[in-house]
Amino acid sequence: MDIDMSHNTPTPQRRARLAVIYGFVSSRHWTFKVGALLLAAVLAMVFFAPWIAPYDPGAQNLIHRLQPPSASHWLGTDHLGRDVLSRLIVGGQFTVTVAAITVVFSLVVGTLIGVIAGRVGGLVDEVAMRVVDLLISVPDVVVAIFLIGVFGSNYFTLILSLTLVGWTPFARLARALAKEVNSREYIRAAEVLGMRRSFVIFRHIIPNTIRPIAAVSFLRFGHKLITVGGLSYLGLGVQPPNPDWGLMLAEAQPYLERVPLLMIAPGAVIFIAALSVTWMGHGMEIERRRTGKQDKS
Amino acid sequence: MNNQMAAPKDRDPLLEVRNLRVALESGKTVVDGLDLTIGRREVVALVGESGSGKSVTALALSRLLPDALQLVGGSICFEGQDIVKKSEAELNRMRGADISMLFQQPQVMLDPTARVHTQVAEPLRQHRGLNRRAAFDRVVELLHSVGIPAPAQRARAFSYQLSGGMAQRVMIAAAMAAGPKLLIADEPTTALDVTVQTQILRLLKAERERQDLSILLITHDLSIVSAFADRVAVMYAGRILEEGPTEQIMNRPTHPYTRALIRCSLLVPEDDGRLLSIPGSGSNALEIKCGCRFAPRCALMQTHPELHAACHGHEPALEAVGDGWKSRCHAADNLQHEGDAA
Amino acid sequence: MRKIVLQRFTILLVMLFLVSVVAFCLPLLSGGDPARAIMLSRVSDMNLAPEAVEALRRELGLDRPLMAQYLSWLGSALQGDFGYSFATRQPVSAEIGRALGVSIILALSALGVALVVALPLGTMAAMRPGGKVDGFTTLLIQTLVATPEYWFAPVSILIFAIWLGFLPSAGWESWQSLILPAMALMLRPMAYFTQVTRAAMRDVLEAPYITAARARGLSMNQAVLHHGVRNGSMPVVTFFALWFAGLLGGAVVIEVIFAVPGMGRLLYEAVVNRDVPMLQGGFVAIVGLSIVINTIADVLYVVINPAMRGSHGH
Repeated sequence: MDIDMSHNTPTPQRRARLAVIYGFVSSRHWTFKVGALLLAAVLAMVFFAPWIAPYDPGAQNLIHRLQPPSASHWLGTDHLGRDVLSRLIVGGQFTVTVAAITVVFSLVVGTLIGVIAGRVGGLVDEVAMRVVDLLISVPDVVVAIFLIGVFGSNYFTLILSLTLVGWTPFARLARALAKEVNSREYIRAAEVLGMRRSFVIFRHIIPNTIRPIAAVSFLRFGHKLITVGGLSYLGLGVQPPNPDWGLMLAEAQPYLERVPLLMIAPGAVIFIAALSVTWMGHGMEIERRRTGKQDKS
Repeated sequence: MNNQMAAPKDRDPLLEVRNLRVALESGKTVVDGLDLTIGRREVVALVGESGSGKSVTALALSRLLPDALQLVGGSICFEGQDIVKKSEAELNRMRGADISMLFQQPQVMLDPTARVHTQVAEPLRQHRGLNRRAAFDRVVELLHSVGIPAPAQRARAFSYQLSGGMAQRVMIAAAMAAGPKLLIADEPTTALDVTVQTQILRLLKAERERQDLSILLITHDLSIVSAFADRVAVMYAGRILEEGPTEQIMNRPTHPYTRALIRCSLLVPEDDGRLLSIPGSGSNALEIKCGCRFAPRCALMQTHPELHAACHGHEPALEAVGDGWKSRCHAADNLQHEGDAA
Repeated sequence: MRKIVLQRFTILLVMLFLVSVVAFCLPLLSGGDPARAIMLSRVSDMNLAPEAVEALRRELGLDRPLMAQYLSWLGSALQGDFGYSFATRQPVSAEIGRALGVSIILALSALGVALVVALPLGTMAAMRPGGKVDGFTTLLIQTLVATPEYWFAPVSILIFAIWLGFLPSAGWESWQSLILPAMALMLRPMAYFTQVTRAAMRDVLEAPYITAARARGLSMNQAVLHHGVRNGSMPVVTFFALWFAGLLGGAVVIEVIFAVPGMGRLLYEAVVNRDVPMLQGGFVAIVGLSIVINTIADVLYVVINPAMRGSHGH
């Protein structure tokens, strides 16, 4: 016997949908905004590199090598007299591209596996999630190095190897979301009311899953940036004459004491790029938690 | 049912709550000036819809409110001492020894990684200074006394190995371990099967007979109230709307809200064949600053337009309508006489 | 419970099998002639007699079908024999054993320090959510997660080895050589440990059984001590095991920077030297170990956590 007569009016779905759309641009949390700004700067730099770079990143000038920062070379020159700033601007292309493509592939593969596991359930679910649990402790660098050893270093090998272990967080999240979405009252209610399945999916499921998946994507992107940079650092990414952040770090090693900036600058760029997406992911996470609380009350 | 009329209350109450106020950090009031008296060996039922502040009241009485909620005013006199003014150390000495609690979902109230006996033994070790061995022996006795079969084995069980009913028996054993004077039971049977509900209530009744125990029973189930409680307090939007002896209130409620609650719980169709429900929701009633908080949902007001001015104008006080019987309604007298006539 | 354990080990065996197939076959399938590579490693003469290479190929069984080669490799691998390194001509298993010892020490010291910092930090952050410590911790976590270890490492070399000069910049001789690599390695785990500790402690502090324990007269500290720590430490312990499994081979960059002869560098050098047996053995060892440790941690978690015994899955 329940005399609970209160009826919580459901939060207007329209508001929730709009919130998702605006969530990307107008998330109120400051870390998201700052992160988005930083990321935009980094991406703009990478995309428009050929036009922005003040010098040809490959142009050597052995007379003016290892120069300190000056008016003509803002970040000085490296051991071959190349302009560090220009190399930094151009040098993000490989790392950023590989990391971005990897995250997209991981997202697609992981979400697919996760949703299938979540909806089919049973043995499929059990096996898929056990595989995820096991793969999560396998270091992506190791898989990447092994495959580079086998196939040589190129875009394909790197993306393949990083996707091989990179899909697991997405699978786990997508499965949890699929399960949760299945059990959400309003979705069952909508189905009982005879609404079309596609309507339910587009109106309720997708808006409710995009935000957490986007948050994870940002965090993973940052992580992949660092991994790819590391492989470049080891000489397993971009090959020498071409500029690349990780490679620049490695090349700066012998001049660590004489010109610390040579090493600090490329590292700082990787750090800022990774930090920007980490902050965005964090901001979205906070936003999600906040709206989640509002939904409940 | 032994028809002992409400024990003499006002002479020496065990617990006397005056003007208790609890608010959220944001300032939103949850319990707003609650008055409540519990006599010795008395069972008082606190009833109301969810969101009326019953559970918050229970936690406030033992000063266990979560961080988000704050006790902002009032006094809680327990045996002549104000709980509100007690230090944390004094509270620790009081909880489990003088005032014990039961909760709605017994299984999640038990630590999943600790064995049953360690938790039942805590009040004994904390308040009675028993050592581990002695405490364990006493725990087995306690588990036996709350009707747990094979208590020595069950004492070593984990919470996941217990059914809901068993877990609540364990919680009762732990609550009774140090011989408290007051038991605050927050919906102790709501999460349990109906058959188990009765067993647990019977057990609580037996404990009350056996020891010198008062019980504050928080529930929304009026059938429990009439079978179990000496007195009832009806709570709505953080306040008491009606309070008095169970029998009188259940038979002749003097507040339209109490009336509606009882009618709803009986599940008897109205004249037009429909089941009664109270329109609207009580969740926003706390925002009503002027007039009676129940007015927007009050059935009486709809049939008696002449009450409009009074009910929307100012909030009625909790006034005596009989011996130990109070009601917070402008039309309480009329309702009472109506009930007499019926 | 037996069912869970059985199921986990079945999946583990299947995965190990798959990993061994990949580890063995891929390096052989992809270009390059192993027999030629071995000859080169022995005589370092580009003008190899084709007959000699052919003879070696037959001797090593490299002319047999891949399947047969795999089975014989697996047979000896199961007995701990991964063949001989092309580069060093030492038994691969011996090299792996040495490297593993180094990696275990490095991983445990890095993770140990990370845990010592993370536990109190995460707990303090959890005690006052939104407070100063919490805000600082969140910022620290973000920063640490985004810091490339191959950036931190040279900076630390610059400061501690070159400028201050009291720590070795590379090598693996004394306990001092452990400090800088461990410091660089602990950044990210420290961030994640702090995050997990904070979340676990928040759950614990809000857990209903803590309220119930306090209602029995326990102080907040007692309640957390008696009922919170065990519940709260479980996710942290699981996380520790995961990171340990990952760092055994995953510290490639740091091991290369600091010239630490661990598993990561072993694999890296196998790639650089085109050392096929080493690549096969190293990959199997790293990936195999990480999933074995992972499974053991998972099973232990089920065994330790009584509530998990009754149910299955999470």
